[in-house]
Amino acid sequence: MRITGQMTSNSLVKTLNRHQADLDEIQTQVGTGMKIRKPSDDPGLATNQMYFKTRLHELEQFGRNLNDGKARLDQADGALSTVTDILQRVRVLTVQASNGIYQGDKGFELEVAIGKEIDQHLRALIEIANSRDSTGKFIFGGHTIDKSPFEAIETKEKGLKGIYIQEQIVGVEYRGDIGEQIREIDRGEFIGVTIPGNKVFWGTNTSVTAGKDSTEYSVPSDQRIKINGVEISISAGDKLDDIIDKINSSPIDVKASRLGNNNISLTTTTPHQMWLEDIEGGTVLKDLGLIEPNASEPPGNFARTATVTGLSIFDVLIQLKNDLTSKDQEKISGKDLSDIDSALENILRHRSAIGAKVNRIENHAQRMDFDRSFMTELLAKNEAIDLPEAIMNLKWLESVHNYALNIGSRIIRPTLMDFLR
Amino acid sequence: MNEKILKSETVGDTPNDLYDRRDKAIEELAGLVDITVGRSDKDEFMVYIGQQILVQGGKKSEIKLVGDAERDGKLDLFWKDSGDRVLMKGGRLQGLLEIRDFVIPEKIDQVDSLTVNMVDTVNSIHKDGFGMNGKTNINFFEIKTLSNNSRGEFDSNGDGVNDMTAIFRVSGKTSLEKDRPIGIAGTLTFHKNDGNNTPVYISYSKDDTVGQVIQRINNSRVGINASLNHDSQLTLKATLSEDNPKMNFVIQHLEDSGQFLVGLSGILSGSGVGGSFDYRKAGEINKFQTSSEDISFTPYYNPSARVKISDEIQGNEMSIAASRGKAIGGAQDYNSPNGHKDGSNALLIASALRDKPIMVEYDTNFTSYYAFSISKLGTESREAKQEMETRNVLMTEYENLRQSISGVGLDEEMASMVQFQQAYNASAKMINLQSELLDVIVNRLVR
Repeated sequence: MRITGQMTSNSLVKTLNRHQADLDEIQTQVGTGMKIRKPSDDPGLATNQMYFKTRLHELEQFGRNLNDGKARLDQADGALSTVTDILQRVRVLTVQASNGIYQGDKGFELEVAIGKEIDQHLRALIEIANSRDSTGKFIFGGHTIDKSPFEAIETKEKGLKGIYIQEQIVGVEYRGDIGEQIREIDRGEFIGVTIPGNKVFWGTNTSVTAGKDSTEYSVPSDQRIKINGVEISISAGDKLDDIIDKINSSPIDVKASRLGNNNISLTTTTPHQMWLEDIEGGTVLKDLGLIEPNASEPPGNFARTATVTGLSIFDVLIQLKNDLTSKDQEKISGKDLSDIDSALENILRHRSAIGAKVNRIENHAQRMDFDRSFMTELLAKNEAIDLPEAIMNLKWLESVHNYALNIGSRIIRPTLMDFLR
Repeated sequence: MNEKILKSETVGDTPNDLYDRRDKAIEELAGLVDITVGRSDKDEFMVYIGQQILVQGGKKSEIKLVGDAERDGKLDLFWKDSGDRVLMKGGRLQGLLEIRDFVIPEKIDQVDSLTVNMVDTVNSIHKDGFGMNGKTNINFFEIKTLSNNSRGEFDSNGDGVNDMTAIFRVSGKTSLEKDRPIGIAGTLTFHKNDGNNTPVYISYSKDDTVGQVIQRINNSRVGINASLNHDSQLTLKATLSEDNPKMNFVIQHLEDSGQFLVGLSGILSGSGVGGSFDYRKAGEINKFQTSSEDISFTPYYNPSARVKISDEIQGNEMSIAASRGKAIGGAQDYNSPNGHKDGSNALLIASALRDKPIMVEYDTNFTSYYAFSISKLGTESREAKQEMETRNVLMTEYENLRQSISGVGLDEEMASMVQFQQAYNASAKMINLQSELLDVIVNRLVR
């Protein structure tokens, strides 16, 4: 094949251009540190890269969720720790007061003193129950954020023996709800990070006993009831015993039973305030005489004909104060003391639950950290260049380019013309 | 040039310069279009594009540009005389046309589909939630719709009368259980979104579960995808059109001979042809039993350009519906706002966008559709690059072959020239010698 001058120069130019393109490519790679900048550089790797990056972002967000959850749980734990201290002090006072020596005139002064102190502890407890977190939201209110969870009902009653001891607190109402705030800590995995007030600040088991005879009662249609936020289906034609069975087999801390007058009674198995609701237009709980027909939502909707027992922590303290006033020593040393013990036990139970959750969060956070570093490593291997390798390639290309230029210039220049004289 | 060449050839000249210029013009033309050259007749030099004649001797056929009104005035090439379309198979022009008419619109469609599905998914969950201020039924995103009335009607041929109902998504009224056998039998009729409204029949029987029927619909690729939404209601969404971007996201035809779409899922009001929904008529929105809250209208062309956050949300962050309501009043409609300020609606939106099988086109979820689009783009681009490199190598080879036949080697020519020069010198020398010899005879021989 004849080689013409045109061919040689074309060939040289093409080679130089190709080198330039390759040099440019490597330069960009080294400059950005990345092997893949566009999907076309390597479509398979690019797809993997997307998945890795998505997972990394997820892990970061879950990490933030875990931190937030732990902070909330820690704060709740701190509050409950103070509550425990207060209750233990109250217990000491109760034991003191139940001691018979505090009778007579001297006893009166001491009883007044104890009464005042218990009143102060009561107010302190209400304040703790209404405490807020760093963003200004209530810790123990469930999902309610616009009003304080616990509201004191005060009357301007006269206190002990005619001495005016400011407004007396005669009750504390729970105005929050039973929602539990959750945080997502992995895909589809949620953990609760708050405890609603109706569970924490309850002292004794509660019960609701209907005043109605329900022997003849038959459920008219399929419907659902809600106890403590859990929905239970009731079918048409169910009788009292069927309803009791369905309630007892549901995953809630409430047990149902039939009492002597064929009336239904619900009792809690751990101290908390029961929330009963008929939902979707149903009427079962109303028909059974447990909630008021025209009542609004729980918790104030128990039927007036029903008997409700059970005390919140605040109720326990108020009851103690009243018993001191009436100097009912038997009650002080009997029921009051055991109620305080029950309240203490409930708080401890919740604190250990919080502790378990914090442990789970810490373990999970550790796992997430490991996952994150693993993902970052994978991503780096996927998309980042091996710097030494790239620089070696660059150097090699440079020298090849130099050779091409060198030889090319030698071949192109000389022609016969130069040698013909 | 052909004329001039013909003229000088007839008088016996060889117009090399003109030949060269003509060859250069043909080379340029060949880069633009896939031409073939016919030199069989010496007097008539022909250039063809495919089977059609572009140049015949001294005659040329002109090409004109005509805008296509259906496609926003995009220009196409037509022969001026016959009015037929210029059929090209290769060349730069054909490459540009292919990119403009197929590749880029496909990518635009993919982005549009992502946009429309995202907007619809977020809006449908957002509308069911409640904001801090108790407001509900508020759209998070605002997107311009094709229709400008509340019945989804649109005037497609510009004659002033609404002649089609443009609906993108419809959700049923009842919550369904995915794995329960449906207990009914019948046949669904859909029309493909391909310009011919090709009917496709999908049958279901009483042992099928809801999930299986949904799978069957999605595998048949009829221009509709089916899924269960956040309230477990059957949701039918339109896909991209197979031939015409202006028909993207329009549900073509829904018909059920039985009760699957009617009584079971609560979408259509009646079975059979009489109860069917067809987009080609106005007022078809009446065929649905769902309320207008659960129907989304088809977005206006190129929806990705027209999305924004709704004014209500921009003006008032308290309206962002992060919480779900309580289900009061039957039918699990979560339509009561009191309580539940709990962020669960926000979680629903997050998981729907992430990995719930809400169906984007025929892919199960957003992640897989996006990954599919990107990797298709990457593969196509890479293939194009490799094709180009291969062609370049081939072209270099052809160039070299041509050069070796017709090219000029400077050394060769110089050597030949030296040879001729020497020969010339030698001849000149000979003539000189002859002249001297004659000179001697003529001038020196004296008597």
